[in-house]
Order: sequence, then C-alpha cells, then structure tokens
Amino acid sequence: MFYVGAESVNNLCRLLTAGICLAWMTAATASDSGLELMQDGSQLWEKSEAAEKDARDSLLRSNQLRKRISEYRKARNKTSKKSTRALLDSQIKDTIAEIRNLQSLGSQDRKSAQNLRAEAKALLSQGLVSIWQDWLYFTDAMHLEGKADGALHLQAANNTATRSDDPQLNEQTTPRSTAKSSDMSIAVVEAAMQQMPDEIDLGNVAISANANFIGHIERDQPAEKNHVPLNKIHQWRLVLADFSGRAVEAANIEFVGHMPGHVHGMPTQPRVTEVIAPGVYRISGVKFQMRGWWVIELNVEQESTGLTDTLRFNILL
Amino acid sequence: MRLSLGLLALSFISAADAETGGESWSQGDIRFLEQFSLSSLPTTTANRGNDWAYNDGAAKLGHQIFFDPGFSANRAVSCASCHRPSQYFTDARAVALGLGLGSRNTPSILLSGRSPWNYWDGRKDSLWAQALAPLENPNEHGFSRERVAQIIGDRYAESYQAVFGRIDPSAPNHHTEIFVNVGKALMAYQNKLRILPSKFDRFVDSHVNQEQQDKTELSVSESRGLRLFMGKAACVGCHNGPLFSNFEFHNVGVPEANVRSVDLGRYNGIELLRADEFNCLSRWSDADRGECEEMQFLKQQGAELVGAFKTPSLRNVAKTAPYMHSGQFTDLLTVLRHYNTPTPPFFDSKQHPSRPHFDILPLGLNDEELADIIAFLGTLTSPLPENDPWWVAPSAKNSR
Repeated sequence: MFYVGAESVNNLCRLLTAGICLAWMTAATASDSGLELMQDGSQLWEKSEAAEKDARDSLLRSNQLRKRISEYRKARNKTSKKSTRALLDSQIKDTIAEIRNLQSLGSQDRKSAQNLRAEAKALLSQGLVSIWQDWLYFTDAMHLEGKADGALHLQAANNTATRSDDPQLNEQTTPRSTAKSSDMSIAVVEAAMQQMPDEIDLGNVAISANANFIGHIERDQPAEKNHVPLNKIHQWRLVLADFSGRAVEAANIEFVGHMPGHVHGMPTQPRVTEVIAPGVYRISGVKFQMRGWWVIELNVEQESTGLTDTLRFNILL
Repeated sequence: MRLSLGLLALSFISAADAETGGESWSQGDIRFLEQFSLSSLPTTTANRGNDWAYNDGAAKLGHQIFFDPGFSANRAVSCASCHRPSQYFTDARAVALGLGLGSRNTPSILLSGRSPWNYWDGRKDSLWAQALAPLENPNEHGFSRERVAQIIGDRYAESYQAVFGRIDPSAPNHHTEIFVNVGKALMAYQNKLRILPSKFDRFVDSHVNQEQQDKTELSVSESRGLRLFMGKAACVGCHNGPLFSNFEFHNVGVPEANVRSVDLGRYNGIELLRADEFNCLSRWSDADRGECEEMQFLKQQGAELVGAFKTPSLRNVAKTAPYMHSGQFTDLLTVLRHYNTPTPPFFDSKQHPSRPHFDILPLGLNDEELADIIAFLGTLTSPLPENDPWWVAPSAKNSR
C-alpha cells in the first residue's frame, strides 16, 4: 500500500501519462477536500494495520508461552525434588500472568485496530464519494425493490453453514428465524434457517482484501432509486479507485456473486460492459433469483501495476 | 397526537373487519400479499424475439394450428393432445406421450410466455422457439419443417400470408422461415390464454379494495397454509411473484427417474440453448442483440446447474398432477413430504460432471401443517373459463 497526498499531485504527474494526469488533476482541483479526506483515511488505515500487527504479535507471543507452560508442567511431573517443583510452580504462575497480560494487550490492540479501520473506511468512503460525486447517484446501500415501504420483507434462504465455505461464516453465527414487521401478522421467513454473521457490513463502499483498492457500487439507473429488483436483469455502476483517490483504470474485473447460506451463485454471469469514465464501470447482466444474504466479490486486476485484489460487498435482499 | 391516535384506531378497525374464522389480516399483510395476486401481473410481457407475439391474426392462426392434428406424422397428435384445456393444458400423465414416450412431465402452457425459459431445463428462451421443437421431435409430432410448410401452403395460405406476407417458395430457407412463423403464431395464440382470478386472488383483491363489501375469505386451514407457505415452510423462497415462480433452476433432490441414465437438467439445457438454431441471438429471432440479455449473460458453469430444473408456477397446481420434472410424485402430499424430509440428489461420478448442489433442508412440519399447505395451494386454482373462445378448439368455437 502507498499513500499520496494532494500536495504531491504535481510530483506524481511527472510519473504519469498526460491523459491520466489531466483527469486526476481535474478531480483534484474539483475536490481537494475529498483528497484530504482520503489522505486522512489512508493514514488512519496505516495506523490500524500497525495496531493489528501489534495485536497479532502479542497473541502469537502468548501462544508460544502456552507451549512453555506445557514444558514446565512436564518437567514438574518428572522431578521429585521439592525445590525444583516449587521453582517450576512459580515459573508457571508467572508465565500465566504474562499470558494474561499479552492477551489483554492483544485484545486491546485488536479492538483499537478495528475502530481505526472503521474510522479510516468512513473517511476513505467520504473522500471517494466527494471526489466522484459527479459520477455517483446514491450514497445509501442497495436494497430490494419495494422493500422500503415495509410491504416486502426478507424471505428465502434455506441452508446451513456446514456446507458453506464463506469465511464470514467461520465464527459462531445465529440462525435467523421468521420475522414480522410491525404492521404485519404474517411471519415471513427472514433468511430463515440461513446462518449469517451477527454483524454484517451492508455498505456500498468496500476496501479490497489487501487494501489496494476502494470501490463503490450502486444501481446504474438513477430513476430506479438504489433498488435491486428480484428476477430481473439490471445494471450496476462501480467506481474504483486507489487510496489516493486516483481512478483505477483499465482494470480487468471478474464479478462473482453467491449466497453463502445456500452455497449457490447467481443465475447469470454479469460482466463489465462499458467504461463510463476513468474508474467508472458499468456492470451488466446482474440478476438475483432469491431473497436473503448475497455476497458479491469483484476480483480486480489493475493492468498498469499488475496488482490483483478482491472487493467484497454484502447485500441483504 | 389526536390525529395519530385516530389513525391507529382506524387501522385496528380495518384489521378487525378482515377477520374470519379466527384469522385476521392487517393492511401490511395485504400489501405484502398483493405482489402475489394475478392483478399484479403485467398485461403483456417481452415479446422475446417475436414481432407477432401480440398480433391478433397470428394468434388466430396459432389457435388453428394448436388444435390441428394434421401437423403430425400419424395425423393424430396436436399440441392439444398433451396440453388439454380441460386439464389446465397438461395431460395428467407422468411423462408425455405423443407418437412415443417422452422423458419429462408435460407442463401447463398457461402464462408460460412470462418465463424467460421454456422446458424444465430451459433449453429454449422463447415460447416461439419452444413451440417448434415438439413438431420435429420423433416422440411427439414426428413431423418435419418441410411438411409443416407444405400444410401451411395447402390449407392456411390465406391467413398465413395476411400476417407474415407472401409465401415465396424460391426464397432461401423457405421451409424454415414458414416453420419459424408457425412457432411465432403458436406463441401469439398462447399469449391469448388468460386465467381467471383464483380464490387467493379474489381474497387479496377484495382486501386491497377496502371499499368492497363482499370480501372473499380463506378458510382457517387455507390461512394457516398461507402463513406456512410464506414462513416456516419457506416455499416463497423460489415460488414468488404472481405466478409463484422465480423461473430459475434448482436441484431439490427429486428421485432420479432412471439411475442408469441420469437427467442433468439445466447443465444440458445450457448447451442445448447455446446450440439452438432458434435462440434469441439467432437469425430467426426478431430481437436485437442487446435485447437478448439472458443469452448475453448466460450462466454456463456451476455445480448448481447439475440436475437442476426450473421452478414451476404453482398456479392451478392442485389440478395438474402428477408433479416434478418426470412426474415422480403422484400427489401434492408426496411432494410436500419430500420437501419436509428431503433426500440428497442421486450422484453417480460416472454420469454426473460434478456432485449436484443441494439446496433443501428438512422443514419439520407435522401432518396437519402439510395438509394446511395443500389447502392453501388449492386456493391457487383458477376456475375453468366457460366462454373463453381461446380455450376451446376453433371448430368448437365456430359451431357455437
């Protein structure tokens, strides 16, 4: 990951082709505040990664100490000498205390990393939306057509985590039951029997797995609000940038959608059909045949750098 | 505050008004159910590459052809042989019987033009392309496009030319062109077939219209069945919309009809569809390439295609036994018992390209609940129309 602030525009332009530079400069002058937001977000992201590394180190060290305790115990069981046993007992006690400290530290760092990541993502998202405001219609998350009026509710989904390889399902999750809205007496299955993470990020902005890219998705039809229809082919719009707010151009993008709770995919194979502007892509052929929790993965390959990374979005229909 | 209390009182009254047999429906319920009513079905749908899809002349010609057994090798098989109006255009058989025995259950053609896919495996992407296949299938009509063209020229020339223009025997692919137009006329005819509101539709519509006095109510068992359908039994997951189908493909683990020759369903359907000389992208389609979205974004890979079959509409389901793609289940109770305690799909590594994906979990329903769902499914039966000329053979219509 690298970070480039707004003040470095001119320096970087020397390294870029004229066309990209012009587009970038236009965006930069139109939205300096957006670039600043992304700069702040990028710095926070680096801090979050540092905190996460600290957390990992602490937890790794505590695991190593566990092994040491096991060795102390073996030695203690082998010896009949009282003084040696007492010494080993004392070492075990001290090590347990050290493990507790490390675990506590690791846990704090991890929490801190999570908070920093959330703050960083918020700033990066705001920056992205600000820079690309002329190309975006919606800031709200995509949701099922007709659901906003409370008349339609989550339905469908009928499977189990045991068959799913979705990483979000590795942790303990709660099976969803039927749910009623306040003005309905019919209990409609709400992702019934589908295992879902208790907390799920339904935002329309995602940061790629290795933090190379940031992407925003939305319905590519302003007249339709940000509604996803059921059983109907429609189009999406993707804005793809790096952490400095620069368009990711000429990217090869693979669109993979699946329902983790059902272990099946979409009924169509969507793909990019048009580059609307640098970093703005039209994706056609999107279709959902079921309500419930969907995961959309965009596997991105940036031709200019050879970087590959995956953006992951959750959608609850 | 007074106003909101008044509104609250009003909503209570309307819920109480809807009460019947211990069941009451809120305005939210009715708004939710409205999406399943026949009234929510658009009057027309995409023409799927058929410029004559809603042409009256084409529909009349298609009506004649549909009931004409002359379009078969033994002059005894017509479309109506398997698609019998009195049985909601099905044949009450496990698998179809034309000149020979088929391998799949005959689906109802009612409103089948609303689906992007035809056949259980979706190997056709329009009703006009679908209509052509039985004519040349040796187990069905056992006919040929040349003989179809000949009969059109001999007996239907006037009505055909009034719609499709002058027959030119010297034109290249002259037989295929007539053959294709016959398919388009058959589709236009099928687009004329309407169904009347069922008890479920009358129930929903009469509650949507709050002014209506004589409301249709569901029985206690039907109401419980409706709640189960939308809730615990999760039927609505795939059976949604006014036709109670998402028209997509799923493997629900129905027993294999012949384990020595397994039916790969959609997996094969995709190949047949792509190779079909009459698909949306073909020269015979009236659609622009951009209109053929399903073909352009066709899913061609995935374990979920193996042994998957199209979700059928549940309209008139109580009257269209037997069930499933090869008529494996004779009645609705057997179908529901399968969903209640499903078995994984048959798998033979020598025959299947991959282990079929399986999407069904036990529902834990008791016998009473199964009976309730069956009662609800019965409310989806439309009465047979008494005076709809499109539902009877043209000669019968003319004799009235």
